[in-house]
Amino acid sequence: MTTPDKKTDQLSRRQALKTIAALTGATALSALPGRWSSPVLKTGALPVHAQTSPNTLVIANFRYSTGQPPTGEIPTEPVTITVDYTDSAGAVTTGSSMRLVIDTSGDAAPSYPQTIDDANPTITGDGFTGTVSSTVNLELATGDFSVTVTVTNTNGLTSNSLMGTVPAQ
Amino acid sequence: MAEKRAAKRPYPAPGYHVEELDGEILLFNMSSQKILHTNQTGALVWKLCNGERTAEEIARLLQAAYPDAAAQIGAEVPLILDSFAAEGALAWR
Repeated sequence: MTTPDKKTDQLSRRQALKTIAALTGATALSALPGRWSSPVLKTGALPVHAQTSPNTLVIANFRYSTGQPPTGEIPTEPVTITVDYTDSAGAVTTGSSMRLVIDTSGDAAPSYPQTIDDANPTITGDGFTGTVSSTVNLELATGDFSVTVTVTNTNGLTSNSLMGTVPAQ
Repeated sequence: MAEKRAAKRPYPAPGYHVEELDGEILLFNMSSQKILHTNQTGALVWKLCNGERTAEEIARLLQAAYPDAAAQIGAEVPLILDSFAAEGALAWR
């Protein structure tokens, strides 16, 4: 049997729950916790990939141009690799880097694959869009080269990998 | 500190992006790169902070809703408010 005081408490509690539901946007009383438990607050840091939203660095349109082969004991050919970039953070600026992973199945295969990190590639554009280029020396007449490119912006974000082919000369 | 703030009115600090999942809350602050997670009761307290109710009024409302835990709520609400404020997620007026 419910005493008057108990009934008053229940009404008061129901009214309080309804008030809280209305104030907090709960669609039903059942959305509120059934009983009180100690509030807990945990803190942490956003993962790097979520620190800006959205944060994407995309490279595309692999292309190359060849330069004048120098003379030497091991003939090589300067090849400039260029890709287009789109960076939502606008951070492809001085200090960005370009990595080239070069491989071949030709005569020079034992010397490959080679990874070349260019800490000072040629960058055009405004940081959001533009081109990144790097020049490397490839051995001549050894067969086609595959070149896998990534770009890392000044925030430390690395792009997708983009692969292209430089034919044997 | 908590007693002094009982008459003050907490409100969410700007700069936090709020995501709610199953009654719990995630608060993201992009500029400080901080993430806060609070459980259902912490989320309740957070949502009641609108700059109009005092900390004491928030505690009283929750005590009325959960009378069996009235004493616990009286002690814990100021603490969680201070925790939110210490993380920069709440401000006071």
